[in-house]
Formats: sequence, C-alpha cells, structure tokens
Amino acid sequence: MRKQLILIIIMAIVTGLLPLSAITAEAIDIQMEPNVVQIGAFYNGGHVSVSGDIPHDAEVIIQLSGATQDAEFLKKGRVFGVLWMNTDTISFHDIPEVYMLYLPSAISESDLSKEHMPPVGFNALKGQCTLTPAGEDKDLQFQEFIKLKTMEGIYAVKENAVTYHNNMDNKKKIFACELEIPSRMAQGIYTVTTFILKKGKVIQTEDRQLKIKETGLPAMINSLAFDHAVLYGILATLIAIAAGLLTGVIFKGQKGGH
Amino acid sequence: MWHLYLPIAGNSINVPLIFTLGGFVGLLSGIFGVGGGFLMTPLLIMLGIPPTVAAASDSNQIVAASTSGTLAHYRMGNVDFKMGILLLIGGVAGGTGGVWIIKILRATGNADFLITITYVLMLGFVGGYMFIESLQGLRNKVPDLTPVSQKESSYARLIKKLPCRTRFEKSGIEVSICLPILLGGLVGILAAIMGVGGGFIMVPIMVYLLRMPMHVVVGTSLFQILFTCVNVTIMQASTNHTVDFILALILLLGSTLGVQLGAKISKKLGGDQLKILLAILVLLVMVKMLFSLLLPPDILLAYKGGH
Repeated sequence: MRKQLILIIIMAIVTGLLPLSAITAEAIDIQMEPNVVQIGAFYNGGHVSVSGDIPHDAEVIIQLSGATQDAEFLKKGRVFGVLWMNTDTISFHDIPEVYMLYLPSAISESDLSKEHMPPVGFNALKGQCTLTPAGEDKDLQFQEFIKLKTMEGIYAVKENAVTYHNNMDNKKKIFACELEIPSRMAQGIYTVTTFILKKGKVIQTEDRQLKIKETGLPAMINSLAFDHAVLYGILATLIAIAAGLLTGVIFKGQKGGH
Repeated sequence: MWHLYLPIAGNSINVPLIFTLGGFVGLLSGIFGVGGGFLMTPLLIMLGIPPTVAAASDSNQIVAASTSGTLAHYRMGNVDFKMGILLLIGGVAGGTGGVWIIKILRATGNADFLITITYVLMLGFVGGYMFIESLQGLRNKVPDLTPVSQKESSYARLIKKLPCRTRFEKSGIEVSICLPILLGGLVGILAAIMGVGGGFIMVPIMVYLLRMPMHVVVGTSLFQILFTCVNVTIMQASTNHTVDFILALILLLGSTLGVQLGAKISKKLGGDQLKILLAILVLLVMVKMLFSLLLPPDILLAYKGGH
C-alpha cells in the first residue's frame, strides 16, 4: 500500500512536470539589438529591436522598465475654493522611473486585466506602488502621475507595437518590436522583459538588460559638474562673461568704433 | 541633426529653437534691463527641461547677456556703477534675509499661497502704476520727466532727511547712500521670497523711488543683474549640480546677440515708451499667472523647483 502511494506520488510529479518540460524544450531564443545605447553630444533618443521565433499560435508582450524609486511631487489643489496652487507634497513609492509596454494587435490595454495575464500595465503598477500621505485618493493621484509621465514620454502603453511575420516553417512565426528610447531616459540599467503567451497564459518570460550610457562630451561635462562642482560653476561663469564681452567687442567693431 | 544632448538636464533639445528663445529674451533684457528669468524659465520647462535645471542654467546665460548688455549700455554712458554697487550691497543682504524669511514662512505652512499672492500683487501694482504713469507722460508729451506732485514732494522731503548724501553723476541725482542700500535690500528680500532675479521690481524702484533717468536705469540694472547671476550660477553649480552648461551656451549665443540689438532699440525709444512697454510686459505676466491660478490645471501634480 505504501509502495503504491509513493508510486502514485512519483507519477503525479512526473505528469505534472511533463508540460513544463515540453515548454522548456521549445524555449525561445530572443534577440535584442543593441544591448547598449550610447549618449553622445548629438544624441536625440534611440531605437532597440527585440525579435525572435515563436510558435505560430503564441503572442508577445514586451515591457521596458527602469529601476523602481520613490518620487516626490507638488500636489495642486484649490485654496479658498478659487485659486489653484501647490498645496502639499505627495510621494509615490516603488514606482519605475521609466515604463513602456508594447502590445501586439491581438491584445489591447483592456485585456491586461484578464486572468492569467502577466502583471503588466498601468493598473499593475498602481497595485504595486504606495502613496504618502497614506490617506490620499490613490486612483486620482495615480491617474495624474500617469498623465505627467506620459506627457514626458517616459511612460507609455503602445498597442499594435509587436508585429509578426510568417516563418518558412509554418509551425513558427517571427515577432519583432522596435523599442523607442526617448532622449529623456537617463543613463542607467533598464530591464526589457519579453512575455510569450499561448492561449492567454504566459509560457515564457525572459529579462534582458539594456544599458544607456553617456560617452564623449556629455560624460565629460557630467563628471566635471558632479566631481568638480565649484570649478565647473566658475568655468561656466567665466565662459559666459567672455562670451558676453566678445559679443560686445564684435558689435562695436561692426559699428566702426562708433 | 539639429539636436544636442544636455547632460545635466538629461534631455536633448532643438538647437535653433533654444537659440531663438535666447535671442528673444536677450532682446527684452537689452531693451528693458530685466534678466528675463520670469519668461525664460517657464518656456524652458515647457520644452522639457527640469525646473531646477531651467532656473539655474538661465542664471548662467544671463551672466553672458548682462555682460554684453552692460558693455553696450556703458558705451552709451548709461551705467551708474556707483549706484549699481550700492544697490548690489543691499540686494545681497536683502537676499540673505529673504532666504530666512522664506524658511520661516515654509515652517508656518501656506508659504506657497503667500508667495504667489505677493508675486501677483507685486506684478499688478508695479505694472499698473508704471502703465498709468507712463501713459500720462506720453499724453503730456513730456518724456523722461517725473511729474512733480504734492505727494512726491513729501517723499522727496523724506529722503532729503537721510544722512550721507552723495552725488551720482551718471544718474544726475543727489541722494543718501543709505537709500539705494535700503531699496536694494527690499528688492533682494522680495526676489528671494518669489524665487526670481528681481529685475522687474528693481527697474521701477530705480525710476520712481531713486528718480533715475530710464536709460541709466536699464544699463545699471543689467550691471547689477550680472553680479547677482554670477553668484547664483556658482552657488547652484556647487550645491545642487543644476547648471547645464550646454543649455546655457546655446541660450547665451542667442541672448548676447539679442541684448546688443535690444540696447540699440532701447536708445531709440523714449523713456515713457520704454516704461509703458515694460509695464505691458509685466501686466501680461501677471495676467498669465492669474489665469494659471484660476483655471483648473491639466495635471494636478508638478515637479519641485523652478521659478
């Protein structure tokens, strides 16, 4: 009896693992190009391509997110019922500095709340973050936060942004997505997460690191401004005075010494 | 192609747009002797520059514009250095005092309300008074002369009682050295509380309370702004790391040219014409502030910092 029980348990475990091993067997190779975006003097944002082969009946969602942080804002409210002004400060905790979600045509933003969907989208972020003071109207304040970040171009949910092409092999298709990197995204490490879904369930999740790095003149100025701040301030002032004097001299020259 | 990355602001900007913006604000500085921070900072924020970086980098570019403007006005004999230095001494002392006052106000709460109301009332009073007075001047066709009324005579009698009187040759006036120090201090306090350079308050004070000729006021105001902004730039760079030199450089290339052109325009305009135009500018800023106070904002959250 005991042996039978052990056998049943073993069989149950093996049976349970079968679908997982089948999924692992068809693990999907995802390519991201480039892995490093360099910020030079003439940088005006960049692009990163994510692509791979997936089963013909699968869907892909891609999430680009920055490190979570706390963010403090001034809250606008009515004073004496008439004047709109900054009334208080409000802090959002555990909120990513950048958040972009790329969806295929088959999945809309409203589908993200369905069961078995990965925890992505603005509603998922709202669930994760907390507010100080705690008594704040979270729905309203979070909506304003999303408006502000969307206006800045560093928060977005983009529908129809993942495209598919048929592979030679009819069992698979190629997905492709072009991630827009706005110039406002600061240097740092970001995470690009690819969710592969089949029949509405996630079958694979893969994280890739995207590095954004300043080089050349921007890197030099940043290092001077932070490591030798006083010298930087004095230099900035002296160059401004020199430029002002130079323009004055040029203008006098143009007037023929008048 | 036309974009440059701003390492401190952490954003890229369109170079011709920022250059033009610098030129336009520089033009106003050259004509009226104001720093233009009250116009430049909100415009930079609209273009995606963080408020603290916008205000600090603007100070850096004003250093160039005011150097260029002071030089242009100096050549026309319009800078009263003696008066400028005394106002500056008062301004530094007043600014320090103002920082303390703002700390106390913040501790009591409702500071933002008091600051905004002071700002709007100040703009309204200064702009309104200057507008009416210069309009009367234009109608009477007696440019650059302050009408002598009974009220002003009593003020004149009062300032005559102050000790240490001295002659200010360029301005053509004789007043106590205490007066510019006191008035400079007052502007310094107000500027620190409102978080602005104070040019638009200093100019009317020089015209109406020190009774300096308008053209000398513009040049002397620029001379004083130069030193205030040198101080602000170095302080902001060393303590807050908010000066973006690339941004300041593009702005100053535009503003130094604009200010030279402005100085030429200023010379061609009469004192009352200058005053009425500045009054209109100040009143427009006030109306814009009033609208922003009365109309519900698009977004109920804002970043900290800026003017």
